[in-house]
Amino acid sequence: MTDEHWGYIVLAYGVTAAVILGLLIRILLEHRRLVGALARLEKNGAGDRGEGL
Amino acid sequence: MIAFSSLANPAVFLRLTRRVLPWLGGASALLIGFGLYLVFFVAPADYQQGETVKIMYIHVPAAWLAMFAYVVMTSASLGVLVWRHPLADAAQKTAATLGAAFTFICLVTGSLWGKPMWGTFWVWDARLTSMLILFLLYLGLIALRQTMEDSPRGARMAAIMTLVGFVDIPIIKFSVDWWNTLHQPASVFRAGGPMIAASMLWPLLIMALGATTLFLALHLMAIRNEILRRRVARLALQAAAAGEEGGADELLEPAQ
Repeated sequence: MTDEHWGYIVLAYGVTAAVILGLLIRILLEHRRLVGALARLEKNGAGDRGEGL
Repeated sequence: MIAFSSLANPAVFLRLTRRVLPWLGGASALLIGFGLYLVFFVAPADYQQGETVKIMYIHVPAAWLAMFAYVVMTSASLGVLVWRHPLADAAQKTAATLGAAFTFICLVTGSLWGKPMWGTFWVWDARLTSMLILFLLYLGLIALRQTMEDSPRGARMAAIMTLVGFVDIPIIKFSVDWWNTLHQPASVFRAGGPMIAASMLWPLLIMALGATTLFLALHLMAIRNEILRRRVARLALQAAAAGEEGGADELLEPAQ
């Protein structure tokens, strides 16, 4: 075991954390955007409260 | 069956997942936090791999989830083709991004482990190649969904392509048995029981459980977004058709 190997370990955990956080942030930001858009549409009178997709 | 079909109602699904998500997210954070503590402060170094074995605690769960996501997509595809249920379509569509992400993590962490252990980042070994094919399948499915947007034909095409691609899953699983590969054979899910010492197996299982709950939480969040996105698109279309002002064009902007 050399110090050089810790570089691979740190990089592996770093890439994993970056991908997971990236996914999470993307989903949360999209959720905020969609909730805002839905609220604007309902406020403008397009208030369809149907349950369909 | 009645309870299952009522869950497939988008409104019920949104209500239920709003309650479930905080618990799933909390469980995931606790399990991964505890798993990381075990990995870095309790689990011993491997007698051959040294500390580099720590990469396995993320590589192996990522590999399992890469395949699990495809199994979820395949089940959802059956829901699309047999029942034509839009919630199954949303589940199929959103699992592709997560599956691609976990496959990417698996490939990158495997390469970062391979360099110090095998002396190379990559070999065209059956296990590695079949995993790369899985990644390309995910990318192909994501591209297909982006070109066909929300059409029922696009949903059916993606479902059929998913079912065809499922052939890669048993190939990944059994590639190490069918061919002579550099990648080691199964050491956890095997007929004779796990080959790993308990001091390494438990941190691995806890990390895998944490990653699975994380996947489920992310998937539920992504399905919720897909339901909302389709609802927004439908309302914006209705508003545009009714000649309303208020930025319907802006609201129709497809989700990235």
